[in-house]
Amino acid sequence: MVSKANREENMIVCIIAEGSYPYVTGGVSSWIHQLIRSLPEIDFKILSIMPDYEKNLERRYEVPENLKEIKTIYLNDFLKKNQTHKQIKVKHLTDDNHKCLFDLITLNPKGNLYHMYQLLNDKKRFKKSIDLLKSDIFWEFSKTVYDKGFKEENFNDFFWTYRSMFISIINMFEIEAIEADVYHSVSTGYAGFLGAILKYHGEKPFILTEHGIYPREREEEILKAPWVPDKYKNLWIDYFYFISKLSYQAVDELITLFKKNQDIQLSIGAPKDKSIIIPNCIDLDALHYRPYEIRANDAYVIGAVLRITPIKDVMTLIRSFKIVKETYNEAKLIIIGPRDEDEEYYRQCLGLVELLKLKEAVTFTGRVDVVEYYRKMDVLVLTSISEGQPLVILEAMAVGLPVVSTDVGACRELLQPDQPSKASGIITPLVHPKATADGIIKILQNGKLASKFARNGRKRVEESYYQDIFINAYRELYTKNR
Amino acid sequence: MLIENYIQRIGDIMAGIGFQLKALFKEKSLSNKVKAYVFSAIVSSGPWIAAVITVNIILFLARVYLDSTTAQSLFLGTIVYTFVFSQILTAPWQMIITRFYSDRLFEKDYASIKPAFSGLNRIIFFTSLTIVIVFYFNKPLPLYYKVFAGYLFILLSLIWILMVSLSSIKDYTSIAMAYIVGGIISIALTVYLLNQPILFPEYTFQSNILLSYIIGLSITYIILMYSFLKVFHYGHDYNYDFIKYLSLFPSLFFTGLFYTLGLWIDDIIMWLSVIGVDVINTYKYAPVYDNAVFLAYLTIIPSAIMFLVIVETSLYDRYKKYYSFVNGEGNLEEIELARKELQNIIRIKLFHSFQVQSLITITIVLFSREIFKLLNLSVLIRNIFRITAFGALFNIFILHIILILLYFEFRKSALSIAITFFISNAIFTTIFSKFGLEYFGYGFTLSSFLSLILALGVISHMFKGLTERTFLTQPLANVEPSGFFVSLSRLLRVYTYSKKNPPKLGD
Repeated sequence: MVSKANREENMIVCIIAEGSYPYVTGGVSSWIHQLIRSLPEIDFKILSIMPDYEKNLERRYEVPENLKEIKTIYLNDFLKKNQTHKQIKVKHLTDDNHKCLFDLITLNPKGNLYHMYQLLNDKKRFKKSIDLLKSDIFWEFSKTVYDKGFKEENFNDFFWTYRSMFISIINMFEIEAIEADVYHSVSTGYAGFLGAILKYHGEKPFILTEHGIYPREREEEILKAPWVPDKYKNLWIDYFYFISKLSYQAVDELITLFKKNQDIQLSIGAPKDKSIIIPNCIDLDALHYRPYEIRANDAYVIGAVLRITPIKDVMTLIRSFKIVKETYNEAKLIIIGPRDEDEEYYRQCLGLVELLKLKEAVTFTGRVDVVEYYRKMDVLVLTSISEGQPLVILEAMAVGLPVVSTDVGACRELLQPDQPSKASGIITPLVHPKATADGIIKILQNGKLASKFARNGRKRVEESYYQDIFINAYRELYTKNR
Repeated sequence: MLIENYIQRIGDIMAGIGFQLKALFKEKSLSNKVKAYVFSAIVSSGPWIAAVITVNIILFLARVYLDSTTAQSLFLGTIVYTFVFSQILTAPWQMIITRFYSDRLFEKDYASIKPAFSGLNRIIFFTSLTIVIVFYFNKPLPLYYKVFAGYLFILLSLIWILMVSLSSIKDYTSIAMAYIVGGIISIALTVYLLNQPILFPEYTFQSNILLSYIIGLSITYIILMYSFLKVFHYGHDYNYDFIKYLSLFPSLFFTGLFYTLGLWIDDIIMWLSVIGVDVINTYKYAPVYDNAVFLAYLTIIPSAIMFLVIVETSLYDRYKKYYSFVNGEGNLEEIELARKELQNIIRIKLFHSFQVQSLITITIVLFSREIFKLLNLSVLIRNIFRITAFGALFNIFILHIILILLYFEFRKSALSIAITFFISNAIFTTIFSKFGLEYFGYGFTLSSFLSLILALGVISHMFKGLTERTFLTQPLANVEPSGFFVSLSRLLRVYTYSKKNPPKLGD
């Protein structure tokens, strides 16, 4: 109490992250880490959403001084929580209440999240929010969904899928409050949904930063996924759009990293008046610019910095390297980044390397200090099928590396801004080894172009993606909304 | 990664639950459960009939030697008390163990049958022993008579449990044999001992016929036990696993308790009324009323048998069809159609059986004057019989509806009907007994009628919401059962294990 009287207390920001910080490394995690470290005058709390309880979840980041609390919730624990076998009859429902629950249960994104929140936390009607899934109301409304789209399907499967789908979000309606001055979710989906609920709980502002477009990423994932039965794919996709759109309703500020994503966000239904762009920035102190040097021999080093996961399409990278090697037999490929996220995929990649007889030329480094490696590279390649605004491109631009990247996320905005003379890299189509290889070869063959790309890159980063720009923007956002 | 894990987890849960649901309603378990419940209900009337016949023959024979009805009444009092209270004691357990057996049989876990049987036997043995000691302790009867009577109570209680346990074997011939042989031995011994009585100092003839009866019944017990052990002679050592069912299905226990209490509460009230007779400060009973109600219950045996037939034939197929659709072979429309079909068949069959039974009851009541004259029973008994025969008619359909509700896992509804019947019977019997002799039996009949109306309402409501309920009451995820008796059974398991496998020195 004394200290409170004596000095103004630090502001507290609660960051809500899904499947990332501090347990999983990656773009978003690094971004959070950087944000926390750069704002020492603000206290942070992390609410980390993870799939399953694990005893010794390893923190992948050193906890900064001003990160005061890390709370982890496990999505699958929700599936086990709050069991009753009772059938429940919900009483005292007005027409509006009915409509509201109908919207919720039929996944209508036009439904009002705040009303849902109030209704499900109304102890007169629901002892626990999960009671909804045991209620006559849920039965009636889920049947309308069934009648509309699944009439011929086996009802048992439908009902289980449908009800299980709701367990997590319904439980979230009565999540324990976390005290903070601002709630900041770093994606939509579950994190955005929880952020919205915490806002209603704490009556504090809610900021939402979208690095990628969450429901789109889920959509791509689900369409390809063999573990989702075909007939329920659309249902799952609708579900993720639904929870994402609902969280838009609660935002006080909605941030995207680049224009292209903002457009998509708005087309999905984000509130235009709350939407702003704050690009990712990087700390230039550690990244020294080195003018491009044309190698004396042909032992070019092609670099890629990524997590070994299917979304990065490492296969295309390897195949394109095979093509490059036909021209530059001495070339090497260094793939930098964690190998343990999808070990099955990693093994497949190794298999491909073997198959293409590239074993001598391809190195998987695992986790290493990237900056060291930038110096050894001649070109940086990105073959992702989905990206936000990749930091690795900014870093490459900062150290003066030409970039070849697929046309995803902010890559085009970064590498090929409106004036072609300011370009710092080459954009290629997705899953196109030949095009990627052509891009690489073009840069390696043309030293003049390469050094121009290098110069342009550094310049552009210094102008628009310098760390302070981003930090100041968030500092301002937090304090403004306090 | 997160989402994949999440959706897959939901898939796992579905698979898990789906399995549970299937286990619950699979053909075999279904037929076992249905048959088990019905059989246990039917078999309980078997010993009754056997006892009525045996006891009446014994009494008929005894009449030659014991001229006064007071002399007979000691034997009769013993019999009535023993039957009524052993039923009340064991009925709740009969429900629990029936369910336990049918679940184990479905899992083909045959090794759990015998241990549960002997575990329950111990529980029943010690409870009935305690009851017997407390009840007879200060009663003015000679010790040998108390021993015979106490032995009868314990034996009969164990027979009820054994009968339920035999329901899964369905060895009808052995069961019939057991009662016939036991009955003949009782009767033969009675004849012999009445001529050459063992010279007990007091109540010589009563002691002799009671002794004859318990020897005959012991033979019955031995034969029944033999046919049980012939099939289930093996098993593990965990005798008390079944008591976790007290926590899992407490409503089954109480349904058994309240329905049986309801069946006898009017008798108990009548014992304490003006027509109550005191026998040697030991038994208070109402021979007029007991006799009438007893005969009334005999009239409903046809519908009990009809019910068994309905369940085994027309109900079974529809039930199977409905739950196979529910289990994932059908869309909602098919499920609902099957439900309506199921509902219809039950309505039609129950109504039909009600018509037939009504006709039988009315006929018997119309001819009651002649029948009672033939049996040499008093007009007083006939008056009570005429009204309680209708009570019994309503009552047997309450039981049928309770059983149907139990198949569909509507245990709470079944319990509420049992409790309603018990309370209303107690209240109405008390009220009508005040109006005088000509209103005896009206309380039981009215309460049975009202409870039947309630039961009909409940069952039609049940069918309307059956599908909704079936799906909504499935747990959201697999959960371990919990509760006092679950922990207790686990504890006893550990205890048994450590007793069988004592820790070795140096471990």
